Amino acid sequence: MSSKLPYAEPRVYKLDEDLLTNMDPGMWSTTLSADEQDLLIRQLGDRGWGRMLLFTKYYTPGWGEGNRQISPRGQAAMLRFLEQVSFRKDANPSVFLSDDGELQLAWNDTDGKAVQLLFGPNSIEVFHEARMREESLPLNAYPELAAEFSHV
Amino acid sequence: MFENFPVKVVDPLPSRIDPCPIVQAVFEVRFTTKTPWAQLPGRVAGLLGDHYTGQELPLFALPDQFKQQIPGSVHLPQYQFHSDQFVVNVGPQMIGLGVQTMQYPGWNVVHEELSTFLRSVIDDGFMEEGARLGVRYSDFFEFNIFEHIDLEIAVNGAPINDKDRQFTTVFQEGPMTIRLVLINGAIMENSHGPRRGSVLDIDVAFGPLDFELHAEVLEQRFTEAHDVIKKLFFGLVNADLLNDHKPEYA
Repeated sequence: MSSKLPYAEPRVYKLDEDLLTNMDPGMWSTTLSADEQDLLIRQLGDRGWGRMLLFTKYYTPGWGEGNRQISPRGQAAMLRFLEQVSFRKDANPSVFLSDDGELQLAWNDTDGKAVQLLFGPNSIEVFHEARMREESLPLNAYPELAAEFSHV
Repeated sequence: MFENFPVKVVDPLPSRIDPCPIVQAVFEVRFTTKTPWAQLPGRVAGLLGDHYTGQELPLFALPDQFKQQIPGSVHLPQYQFHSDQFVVNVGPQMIGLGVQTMQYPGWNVVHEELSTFLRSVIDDGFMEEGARLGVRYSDFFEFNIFEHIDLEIAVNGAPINDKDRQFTTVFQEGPMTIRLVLINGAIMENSHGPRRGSVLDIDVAFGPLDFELHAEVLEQRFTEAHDVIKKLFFGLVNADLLNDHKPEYA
């Protein structure tokens, strides 16, 4: 379908028919790369991966009642956190998209108390019920958070 | 030296080659914004000088419901401004400066225009959050590029004798994601008329955590990406190709 659309920026070269695939503009780097999707499948399972695909593809600016699309910086920080964290085997973290475009990871710790990490454009909001901890950290704090919340 | 793509190190790098194979060079920022798309082309028009003329691109006229079905359509240009040397592409969540096709004026001229362009765009403030910063250079050669680069594709230890070939690889170098595309089955109309040849296409991108929406930072990142593309290009092509293109050194 895509190769027949009237794309706005025709390439300055044309390809042999045999080589046409994969070269349409706009098909690159749009939402989640294969590596990122693989990471989501491993860390958040099929359900979390599916939800992220929905959030990135279909929750466009103004979704719902004027809500905001995913924050690219918040998404990048959450993915880097996921690269480094080791979730407890039965943690089953869930992912949510806030009205302001932030991504929230939420699960219960070993005592059944809530853990919530909210990744926004400029900060990570941390809530850990067991410790009565509620704190805002800069985005580059994801390595420390990944170490702190591994196996929790 | 690239850690993950071990091309040779060329030092010093030529400052110019002739004929210049660059057919396209684009410097693009993807972003989120609260500014409605209907207002963006007019807003950008006010930032560019009178020497830029605007025009709608084909995607502009499509209904929004249809555009939403196209993957990444918010990152595709829908309106274009052009001057004698440059084009500015604008989409709902992208803006990019490019050179006119096959009229690459040299990095110094591009850098000067880029600097002015970035200051205007950043000062306006319509970009809320940066999502991707990318630079892409496309080169065209009237020969089979695979016979003139230091990269081999072998089957069972022997080179393959194929008719058409397309090679794409993506690798990471620090914060940069680099995509290299090599194709020997391209047709392009250049100053000699339509010709079959090869494309060498390099795209370098930074992710949202690796740049800030400040003119100086963007300029620095674009310069870094340009320098990496140059190193990769000259590290990849072999001595025969370089000698045939009369390299000049500053």
